[in-house]
Amino acid sequence: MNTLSDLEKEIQQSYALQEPRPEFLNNLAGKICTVKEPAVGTKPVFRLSWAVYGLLAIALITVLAIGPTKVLAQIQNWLGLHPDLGLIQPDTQLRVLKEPSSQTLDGVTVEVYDGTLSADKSYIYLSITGVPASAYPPNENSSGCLTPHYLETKDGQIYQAYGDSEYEVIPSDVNELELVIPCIHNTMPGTAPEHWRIPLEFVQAEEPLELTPVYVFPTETPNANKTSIVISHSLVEDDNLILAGYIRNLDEKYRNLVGGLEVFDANGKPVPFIHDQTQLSLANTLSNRLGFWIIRLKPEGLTFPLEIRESYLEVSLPLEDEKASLSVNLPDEYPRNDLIIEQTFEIAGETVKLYFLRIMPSQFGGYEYAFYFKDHPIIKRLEVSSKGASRSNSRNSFGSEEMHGELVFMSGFWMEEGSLHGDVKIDISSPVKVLETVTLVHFFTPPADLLIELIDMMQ
Amino acid sequence: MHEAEDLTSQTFVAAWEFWHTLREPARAVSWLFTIARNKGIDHLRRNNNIQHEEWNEELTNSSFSNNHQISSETRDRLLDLRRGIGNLTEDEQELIRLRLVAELPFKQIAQIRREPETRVKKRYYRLLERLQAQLEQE
Repeated sequence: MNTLSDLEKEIQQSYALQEPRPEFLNNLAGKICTVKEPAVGTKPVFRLSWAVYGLLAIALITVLAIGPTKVLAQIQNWLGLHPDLGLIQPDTQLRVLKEPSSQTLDGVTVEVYDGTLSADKSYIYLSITGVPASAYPPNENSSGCLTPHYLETKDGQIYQAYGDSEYEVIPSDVNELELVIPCIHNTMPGTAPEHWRIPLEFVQAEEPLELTPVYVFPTETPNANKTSIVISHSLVEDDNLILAGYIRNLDEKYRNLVGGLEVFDANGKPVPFIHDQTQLSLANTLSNRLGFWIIRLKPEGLTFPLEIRESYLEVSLPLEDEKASLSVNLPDEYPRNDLIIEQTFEIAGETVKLYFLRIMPSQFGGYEYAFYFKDHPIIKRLEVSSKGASRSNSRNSFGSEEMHGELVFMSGFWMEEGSLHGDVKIDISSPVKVLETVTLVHFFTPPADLLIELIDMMQ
Repeated sequence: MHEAEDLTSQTFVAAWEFWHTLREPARAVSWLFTIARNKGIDHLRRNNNIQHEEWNEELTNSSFSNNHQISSETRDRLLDLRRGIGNLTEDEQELIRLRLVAELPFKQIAQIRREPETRVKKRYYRLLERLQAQLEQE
């Protein structure tokens, strides 16, 4: 990697990883040895023609069923997805940086490598390399230059930065500007070149714009007050159909308890999909929706409508009055392995088992204590504490995972100073109980023009 | 720790099983990270009710340096930094990890994330700016 900034070095330091445990490496080697010799196979060939005919038939039926006028109305639901600007009309006038522009002074290079201007947004991206570490403040009590960048026209008109990479709107007749950098961010006076003026030229973006077409579904329906699954956006990328949606009117208290999404085709056959992590602009558009999701699936051979199911557990708030305690005996010297406890206790009318305890030294002093409880159908969360524990550093997990051959969930605390030994009283409190499991179902048939897009993709 | 080991193990076993499907050996690193990434996403989805703030706490408390000699000032700053990183979206945290923990070049990160390299760079530098600004506010 190129020379790292101080901040990047600090991030690396904060992430410093432990060496893998030798037991783990041996175990992994053993597992790989037991995997059968990989066979060289051929990729299954998809019979495209059947799928295309099937989709064409559905498209035709859909068009006939909803009528040409409505189809036209739906076509108007297409927007373009721009990496910076999000969803925009495809005919939006954009200007882009004609070419990257860079300057190097005293070994420090500022490169403006990208920029996009629209009627209501301006983005300019730059990188700064080669700043010596000595240019930054010697300690946290002092700070360097924080004067923001700005853009300036030849006649002295100034457009301020909004932080990050966004600037005030640049009028459509202004194409030549200078990026003025009074100083390199957070450097001490006289330690790095100052008063940078980097000329930038913007040109009309080539048309058609490189936008990803996104189908925007109308989301206002007569049942808008009901808790329901909503499909909000769809697009076709490579040979994938991407669907985005969320649960409407999902109370915030359920947020962490939404079950996994399931998709079935019209024959009830599960449809494999992955959760897409690449559609960042779309994710930003949906980021204010609780439990939103963006999934990517292969449309070949699918029979519509798709049945999309998502379940959530309706849970109680933490029951503050419900408490329990148990006593565990902790050795003078902590073992490297987990301590199997296997103690049951009653809380909120339910019997819960503390399965094992994991104690790990903390680099900040003291120890971290993680209590693993066996999965329980009703109790989904607990708080644990003990005398001297720092509650602010307690951590709990919803749900369950398999450890030591059992499904477990965890709650823990950190003791900043000292450690626990001998008979130790553990206080358990604030259980969260499952009240009901609710499964939402939504049937989805792509609108006609989305189907046509799918067919185009598969041909 | 346990989950990380499990996911690492699953990644390597899957890579071994499907090695013959890799058409471009030059992309092996990106490919391996892509498998790991998918395993991680699957794991998070299966346990998607893990509260984000709790992950953040875990980040804060987990051992983050083998260097016991760091000053309390440095420790506090690194803690602030970890909290700041913990407040980023999972996607943003991944970008930081790929760049600074895995030390991958932007080109490989772009392959793993199936994004244009310029977009990856752009997001990365924006993230650094944000983290820097947060640190200064604290």
